[in-house]
Amino acid sequence: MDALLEVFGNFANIEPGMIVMWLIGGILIYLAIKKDMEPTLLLPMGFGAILVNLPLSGAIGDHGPITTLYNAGIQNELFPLILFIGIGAMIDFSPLLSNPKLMLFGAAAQFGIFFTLCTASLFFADADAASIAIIGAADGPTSIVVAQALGTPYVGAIMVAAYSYMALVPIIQPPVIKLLTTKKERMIRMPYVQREVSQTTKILFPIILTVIAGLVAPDSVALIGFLMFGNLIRECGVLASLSETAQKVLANLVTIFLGITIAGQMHYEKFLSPATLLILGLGLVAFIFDTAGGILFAKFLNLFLKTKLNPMIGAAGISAFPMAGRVVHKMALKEDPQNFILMQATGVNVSGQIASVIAGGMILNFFG
Amino acid sequence: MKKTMLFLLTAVILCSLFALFASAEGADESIVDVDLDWHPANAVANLKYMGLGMLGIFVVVGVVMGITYALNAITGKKK
Repeated sequence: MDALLEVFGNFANIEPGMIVMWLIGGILIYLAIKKDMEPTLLLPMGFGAILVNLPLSGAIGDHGPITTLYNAGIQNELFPLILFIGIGAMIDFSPLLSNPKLMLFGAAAQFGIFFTLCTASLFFADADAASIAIIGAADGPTSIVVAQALGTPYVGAIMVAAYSYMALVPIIQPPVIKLLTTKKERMIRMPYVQREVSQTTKILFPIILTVIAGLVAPDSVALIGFLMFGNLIRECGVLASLSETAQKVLANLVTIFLGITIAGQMHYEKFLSPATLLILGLGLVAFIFDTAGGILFAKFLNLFLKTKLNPMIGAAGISAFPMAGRVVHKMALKEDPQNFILMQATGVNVSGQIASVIAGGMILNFFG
Repeated sequence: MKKTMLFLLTAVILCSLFALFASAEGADESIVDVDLDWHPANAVANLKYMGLGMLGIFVVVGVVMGITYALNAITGKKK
């Protein structure tokens, strides 16, 4: 009997909250595998949530590997910044550089961040509200860096919200787009004129952007700098092997560590609270108002333009790349099978990546 | 157009409601026990950061846009 107790004694340490977190972890794994929703992050996060919520788990605590990885790469914001090198190496800015005015829509689509800042500060202290608002950046590394820098205890909930909603963009955006646009507006055609972008422009762009953004928002230098460094590796033309490593091996390696380590913040005592539900709700508000901000800006511009823009491209300014661009393109095709706005939507989507990082820097400047 | 007006009207009503709460007495009472408080004054104060933040993003993007146009003009292939 004593032997049985010794072997199975830990079962007595199971708390109801742990079981709930096992279910949540299972749901994240299900969404990742069956629904193909951001599997690179949701699967490690889901499995990690189960690992850290086993009683007396050896994965956490002073010498636990998840705690060690967290201290090594999340607490000092290193992992998301390294991931940004890989992301920068993956991004092709050509559609944006050939039509630079598309950058304005990426800027407008960050409205949801600041709207959510005001809404979240109804319930949370300023630093926590700012960390929650950055969910609207629709960018995992930016959200982690800002949340960690501001010292919020809600990192776990923020990451689950950020990555879940990024995967849900095809569900969140269409109703908002349909609410704010008419069928006639959705059918506006935007002929694409291919303009060649010189290699010199592609090389100078990341350098210039880093300098300008860094001068305006010094706290964003790490974020924008690492993203643009990755892009420079890609565009310079002499570092093909480094570019490939950054895009594939580096990005995948860091993603594995990031996902499972973030789960270290999903212990039931921290995660299961009214604050988590509120954060999930506020994250949705951020995404909705990002979409609305981009669309309403496009409609505002149309008041002054002779050649009208399809206002849906404003919705592509959310930083969920390439999902947001594809959603807008599909909706345009649905209204008019001959209306191809993929290149414009992709350009706006890429500009959203830049604008979201600048927004992250602004938030750090204001509240850091 | 009607849908946009409805959306804007809803946003105005929501903003008015929270401005109303911001000025109401006793607005600082907690609504939830666990580490949440009701801070309507903070929400109104943070409107300043909304303005500054959006302005900052547009200024940076505007400058980058201008430089990109210049780069394209300087480095583009001559006809």
